[in-house]
Formats: sequence, C-alpha cells, structure tokens
Amino acid sequence: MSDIDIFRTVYFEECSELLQELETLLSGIAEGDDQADALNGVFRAVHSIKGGAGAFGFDALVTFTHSFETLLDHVRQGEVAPGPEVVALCLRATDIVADLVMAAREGTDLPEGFGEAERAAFEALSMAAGSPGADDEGGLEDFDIDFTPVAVDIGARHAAPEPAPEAPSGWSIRFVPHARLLATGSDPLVLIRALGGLGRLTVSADTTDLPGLEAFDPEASYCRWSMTLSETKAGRAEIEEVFSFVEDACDLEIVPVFDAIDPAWSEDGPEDAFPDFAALMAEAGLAPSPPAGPEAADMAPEPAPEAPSQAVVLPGPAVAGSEAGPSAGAPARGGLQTIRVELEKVDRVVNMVGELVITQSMLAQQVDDTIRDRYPELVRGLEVLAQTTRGLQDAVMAIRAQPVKSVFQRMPRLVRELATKTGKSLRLDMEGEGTEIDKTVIEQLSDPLTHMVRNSADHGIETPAERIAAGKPETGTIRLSAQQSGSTILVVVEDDGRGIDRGRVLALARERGVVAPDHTPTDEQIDNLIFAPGFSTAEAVSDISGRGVGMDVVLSNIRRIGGSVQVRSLAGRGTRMTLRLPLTLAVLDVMVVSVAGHPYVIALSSIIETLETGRAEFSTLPSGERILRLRGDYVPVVDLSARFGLAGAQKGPGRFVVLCEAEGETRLALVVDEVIGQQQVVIKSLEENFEHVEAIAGGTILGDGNVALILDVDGLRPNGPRRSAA
Amino acid sequence: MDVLDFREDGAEETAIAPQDALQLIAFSVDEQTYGVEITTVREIRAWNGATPLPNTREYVRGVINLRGTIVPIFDLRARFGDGRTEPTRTHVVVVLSVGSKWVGLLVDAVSDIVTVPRSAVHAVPEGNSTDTELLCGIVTHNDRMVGLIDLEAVTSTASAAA
Amino acid sequence: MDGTDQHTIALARTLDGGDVGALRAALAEALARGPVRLDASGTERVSTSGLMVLLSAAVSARAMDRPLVMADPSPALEEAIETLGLADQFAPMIPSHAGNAPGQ
Repeated sequence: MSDIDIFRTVYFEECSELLQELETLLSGIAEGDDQADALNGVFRAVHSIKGGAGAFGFDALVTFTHSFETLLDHVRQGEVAPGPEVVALCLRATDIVADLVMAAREGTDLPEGFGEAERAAFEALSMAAGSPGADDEGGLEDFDIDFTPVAVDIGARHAAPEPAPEAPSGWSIRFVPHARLLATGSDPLVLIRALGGLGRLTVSADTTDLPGLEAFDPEASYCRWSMTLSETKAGRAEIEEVFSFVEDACDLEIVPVFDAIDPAWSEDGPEDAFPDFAALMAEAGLAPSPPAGPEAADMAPEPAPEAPSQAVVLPGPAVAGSEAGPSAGAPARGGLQTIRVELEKVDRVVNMVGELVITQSMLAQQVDDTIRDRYPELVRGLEVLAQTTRGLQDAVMAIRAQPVKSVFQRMPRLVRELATKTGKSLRLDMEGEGTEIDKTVIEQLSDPLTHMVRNSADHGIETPAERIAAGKPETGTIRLSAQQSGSTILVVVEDDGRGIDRGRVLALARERGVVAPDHTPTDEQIDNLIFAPGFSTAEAVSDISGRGVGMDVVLSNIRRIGGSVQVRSLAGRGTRMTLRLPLTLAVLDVMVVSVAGHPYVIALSSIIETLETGRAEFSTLPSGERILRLRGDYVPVVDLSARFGLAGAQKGPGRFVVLCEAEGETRLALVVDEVIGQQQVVIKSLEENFEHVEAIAGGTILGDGNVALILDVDGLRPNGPRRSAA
Repeated sequence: MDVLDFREDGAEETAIAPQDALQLIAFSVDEQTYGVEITTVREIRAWNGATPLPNTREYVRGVINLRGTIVPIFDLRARFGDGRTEPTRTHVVVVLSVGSKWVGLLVDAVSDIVTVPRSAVHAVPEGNSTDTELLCGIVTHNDRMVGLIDLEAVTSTASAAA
Repeated sequence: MDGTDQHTIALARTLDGGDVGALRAALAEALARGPVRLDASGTERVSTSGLMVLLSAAVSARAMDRPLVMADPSPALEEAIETLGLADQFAPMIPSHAGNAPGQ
C-alpha cells in the first residue's frame, strides 16, 4: 500500500463511520430527538465528508455534499423547518452520499445527473430560505482553489544540494497547520497517523500558543508539530504525499536525518535526548546550534561536506562504526496504540493459534503419572503453556470480533428502498448493534439478513390499505435485534405483518412435491417450509424478494457456518425469524464420541442430553425404524455404526444415546459406542481438498494428530434433510 | 561449446535436453509400476492409517492430517478396480498437488526417480477402459512399462463410475 | 468526597470539530464553578481540535488554580494523544499518567 492508499483508506473508513452516524442522527430526528444537537452532528458529518472529498478531488462528492451542507445550515439556522419531508430528503441524500463515496472508492462512474434531483431540491429549499451564498465562508470556494502545492524547497533554504548523496536514516518533519486546514475538515490527527504508517514516528507537539478557554477559537490552529520519522524506507516524496492535500494550508518542512552516531545517545537515554533534540532541530529549522547541556559537547557536530542539512547530527567517519545503528536514533517512546492490520494477517494468526491449541492439548495428553513424577518442571511448563495458549486464543479471537453494527447499518437503507418499491410504509427498529461476533461470522450474516428483511418487507408487511382495514397502524414495523446467549448469537428479524399464510404455503408445498399429499405437517413445520429450496409464496414473483432464491439461501448459508434458522408466525400479527449463529467459526465446542473405534465430534450446541442405552426405551416401528421413547415423546433413532456402515461397533447395552436437536426443533437420537469427552476443536474443511461428504459437516484434528469428522446432525436424519416436512 | 548441451545422467539413457526431460516418481502397486511427474509430488510418507469417510467410494480410504490440513487418500489399487489394499506400515502415501487440491495416493512402495524424454511418452493403447481413463501415457524404463497416472482422473471426485 | 464541589463532565462519544464549541462553553462554565473532573471513558472519536479545547481548559484551570483532571481516558483518546505527541501536555491532567510522564 502506498501512503496515498493508506490515506484514502483512512478517509473511506471515516466516511463509512460518518455515514452511519448520519443515518442514526437523521433517524433520530425523524423520531423526534433533540433536533439542535442532532442537526449539528449531521452538519458536522457532512462537512467532514466534504472536507476529505475536496482534498482528494472527488468533485461530484464535493458538489453534492456542499449543497447538502448548505441546506443543513439553513435548517440549523432555523430558516428551513426540519419537517418530515426535509428529513426524508436528507435521508435520501445520505444514500446518495454513500453511493458517491462508494463510486469514489471504487473509481466507478455514476450515471450522468446522479443525485441532481435531490441537489435541485436542496437548492430550491435553500433558495427559499435565503441567499444561496449564505455559507460562503468555508464553503465551496475553499475547494475550488486549485491545489498549488507549496513545495518547501529545503535544498534551496539550506543551500545544500538535494537529493542527498546517501540515504538518510530518517526525516525530521515540522508541520504547522493554518487555521484553514481545520476549517476545510482536515485533521492533523489523520495526517500524523498516516505519517506514522511510514515508519517509526516520534511526535512532539508545541502548544505554547494555546490560550485559555475564554480566548479559545475552535476554528483556530494552536499547535505545531515536530516529528522524527525513523526506521523508514520512505523518501521525501512519500512524506510530501501525506500532506499533499493540505500543502496550501500549512507550513511544512522536511529535513533528512542521518544516523545518530554518538554512543552516549543510546546509553544516556535517548528518550530524553531525542525529542528535545528533534524539537530543537526543527525549531532551528536550519541552525546547527548544538543542544545545550553536557551531552552537547559529545555530539558537537562535525558537518560532513556532502550532508544536505547541517541541522542534523552527522555521521563522523571516526565513529560511524559504533553500534549506534538506526535503532539508536529511534526512541522507544509510546507509539500508536492502534494499528490497522490486513485481515488476512489476523486470519493467519487465528489459524496458527488453532494449531497451537491442538498441539498443546496433544502434549497435555501425553502427561501420565510417570512423567509427572519424573519431570515435574516439564509438567509445570506444560501447565503454563496451556494457560498461555488459552489466553492467546481468547485474545486473538477478540481481535477479530466486530459489532454486528457493520451489517445492521446497511439495513435502514434497504428498508427505505423497499418502502419506495413496494409502496408500503415501513419502519425499522434495531437493537443490540453493539453485539460482537467474529468477523468471519459477520461476513456470512449479511446475505441472510438482507433476505430476511426483504422477506418481511415484501411478504410480511401488508399494504397501508390492508393494514388500516385490519385495524393496524399504517406503518409496518420490522425489528432487528442481536444478542449474545452463551456461545451463540441470536439475530432476530421480526415484523408485525400478516404472518405466514399456512394454507397457501402448504398448498404450494404439496403442489411442488415438498410435502407428501397424505402428510399433515404441524404449524411450525409449515412455517419452516419457507426455507425449502425453490419455495416462494409470493403470488406474483416480485422484483424484491426475487424468484424464489431467497429463503433457502438463508438456510444453506446459515447452516454452512453451524447456525440455524427458526421461524414463528402468528396469523395476522406477524412473523419472527430467529438466526442462531456461533460466536466464532474458528473454534467449536464439541463432544467427542467413538463409533467402531473411530472418533466423531458433535457440536455441543446441538446436543440436548446424553444417556446410556441401558436407560433408554427403544421401540421399533413396523417399518423397522427404531424410535426412542423419551418423556412421552418419540424420537427417531440413528445408529451411527449402521448409518455409516462401520464394522466393529459394540453391541448390547453399554452404549450411549446422544440426543440432538436438528433443524426446526426436530430431535434425533444418535447411538454411539462411547462418549469420550468435551473439547474445543478447530473446524477444517473437507471440501478444501476433497468434496462434501453426506452427513459430515467437516473435519477436525484431535490431540493425537488424527482427523475426526464433525457430524452434521441435520444430514443424519432418517429421511435426510428437508426431504419431507415430517 | 557443444558440451553445454550435453548432460550426463549416469544412466544408460542418452542425454536429454532439460526442456525435454520428464522426471517421474515411480511407484509400484502389485507388479505394476506407475509414475507421476515429480513436480506434482509434495511429500512421501509411510502409511499411518486414515480416518474413514462414511458412505463414500471404495477407493477413498479416508482422510489424514497433513500439518493441519485434511487430505483425502485414494487407494490406487482399488482405483484400478483390483480391490482395496490391506495397508501395513511399509505402504506409502504419495502426497500430490492436483490443481489447487492436495491428495494422497496409497501405493505399495516408491521405487525410483526416472528421467525420460518427453518424446518417449506413448499414448495408452485403446482397450481396457480403466487404463485409458486413468493413465495419460506410457513410458518404458529399464525394460519395464511405467504407466503415467492421470491425476485429475484418478482423484476426480465427480466420476463415481469406477 | 474531598470537600470541594467537583463537577464531572462526561465527554461525548465524539469530540469532533463541530462539538468543540459546545464543549468549550461547558468546560468554561464548569471551571467557573469549581474543580472539574472529565470522564473520558466513552469517547470513541476525537479530533485535534477536540484535544486542543481540553488542553485549553487546562490552561484556564491553571490560571484559575482550579483542579482539572481527566479520568479514565478511552483507548481512542489515548491513541489520539499519543499520535499527536500530546502525552506531556496531558500528563498533568491524567492522574495515572502523572507518575510516568515521559522525559520530565
């Protein structure tokens, strides 16, 4: 990534935060939140987006946000009333800003005149409110200026030729923002952060000009920075690039630094000496005045003739071989506390930690009493290793955890668009957006959630006329919530619509052969039929929920990641769909069982209970199928050794029944030889090198290094998954 | 300067220009010798059991753990329709990369590394359909026939015909 | 607690450009009344001017001889302070930092 890319990435990430905030604030205003506060927030967010857009030359975005901002300013001034239609316009404008940001990010073109209608609407409202140029200060003019880079010609200033004949070990950068830099929405924090991405950055700030509150002007710039960039490959160009968008709004000096050579530096605490020196050097700009104090004598500069700047400590040949390498010039004073890391790198760590967990448990299994007696130190070490490994695993998973907000935030716009398309009046409530899940799960959540919300809007919620006729409020509500429950996350999509029309669903299911003509499923089973492949109850296939490729996709996506979907419906009152998702895809809590000498694992989340076969009551149906009678309920029985055609399984009573919950609350009793225990495993794909295996969800590697298969409980049901609704 | 084109292989073969050389790992199943191009071989390991997969084809012996990745093992004897191997610890798994996948072939033993000119590869005679399906060529080495395994075909999971 | 009428100002989730004017007013008002404690635990996004107004408050507080402390700065705030090289300036305000203020 080049610096400009980093800088852009930062900008776009901020844009998505700001857009989300806009969404929240505008929705809040629509709900009657304190308008003054919210409006300020909205204004600020739009302003920030505009600022960055101006800096990057995203003209369409600047133009649009400028008009948007102008309107907002009138609203803020009370010249335009923030009525529902104005708020709706602002929401639509937010969507357009999002599209423009997306287009800028992807480098794609939007259709000619995109957003023009809205922009015209802003202009009309603004015009009505007052002079269109009311915001001239700090307005568009700032952005129309050609960015004439004020290249600071250090070379000329120091009368030394550039480029330097030898590569500098770092750079000293002096940065004094003008007030205008802040006014255009740029923030030194962002710039310095970007600079920090180039190497090791030591920053010292001079705030001596800062007045007390009575004289404090939020728009003024009170701080100047002296920075030293070391351990960097960056040249002057890269550094200038970071500031290229604000070059005309700040003073910038970039001076190369050559290796510090005085060993005293590394011995006598560079932490003290370096920042002072850097500041001093930068302060002086060019003056080679040696720092005062005892050290000064030691590092009396011996200017090498080829050095471009005398301001810097210069390498004297006599001491150049001393051990003071580049690191000596890089004080270990607190660096950034957050870093951006490519997800792939984190994934690699997660995977390796997974392996480490396995290796650790394998080692732990080797410890027996003999080893314990003979090598107590080794055993203690292994215990510490176990603890550290667990800690490491938690820590790594926490790095990859993200709030579900990143998925939820796409939904308000979806609902708005659905409202427009269907002509229905929709409202979206969201709860628990802060709930954190592993990023890999979040990525799998977006499509199913989109389908579910669409389904609610399209099939669940009635038209306004139907709703009024049914005595309901005209506006239909879709409620989206997330919460953690043990090691699973529950995501619920609920609507107050008409509910599932079971008669029609069943008729369709029969017609399509999904349900046998003589079979009468329960209400709950009928409800869950909407997830059957190719099933769609919309009489007219709509442009929104698609052509029956919706809900079955939800189910297969969710099941692939070890989750489940459940639907409940009340006729005339609404539908609730509950997604159960694992907290992480990286590790799975399982029970290890053995069948015919082979280990299998079953996700703990699907196990209801285990019991010995001796205590279980089996009956045989006329078809020969065995069923388990349990507390008045009958549960189909699957003997894994028979199901998998494994020879050498145990016979007789000493075996175990694992009672599992399969799809749609059906239950299944699995007969296994032995229950070995519970553990965490790392899920491995069989498809990666092979193919999907029926009734197997994947593999995992046990402590002894052998592969154990993960059972797909749904796939084990006697009639296979979803073949019949029974 | 013509020496540059000349390479001594120590064997009785005549020198083969490097761009024309085909290096094979040869292995045996029963009395028959087969080969795969050496560049596809990732690892050779002794048989140490495999976790069986339920309800899969006879020649799929199961899966093993190869440094954290799950790799399927194909029983070459069974693949050629000669019944499953009764593997012992002297049997060998040749781990190969086929496309983006890693697979293991269970064979009796690895016998040799063979270098032959590409021009010496003969087409498989029409006849036995298993041979034409699973071999992509035949070469002769030390008077023995070496069948070149068509890895895609042998490890194809789509063709359940065999 | 310590006998003085200490005001706690909980800093907002964002301390961006547009928030600074209001924060300035709130800080000035609170300092006029007595010692001020800033609860900075909930701040998730901060801009340079957001930090400047806090430092400006410290200037005022010193002039008025009023205690001003910032409790429990959020990671985002800490990061911004570090990034901008303002650790020294903030050290006197943050009790836990006073001890290990770098350099001085």
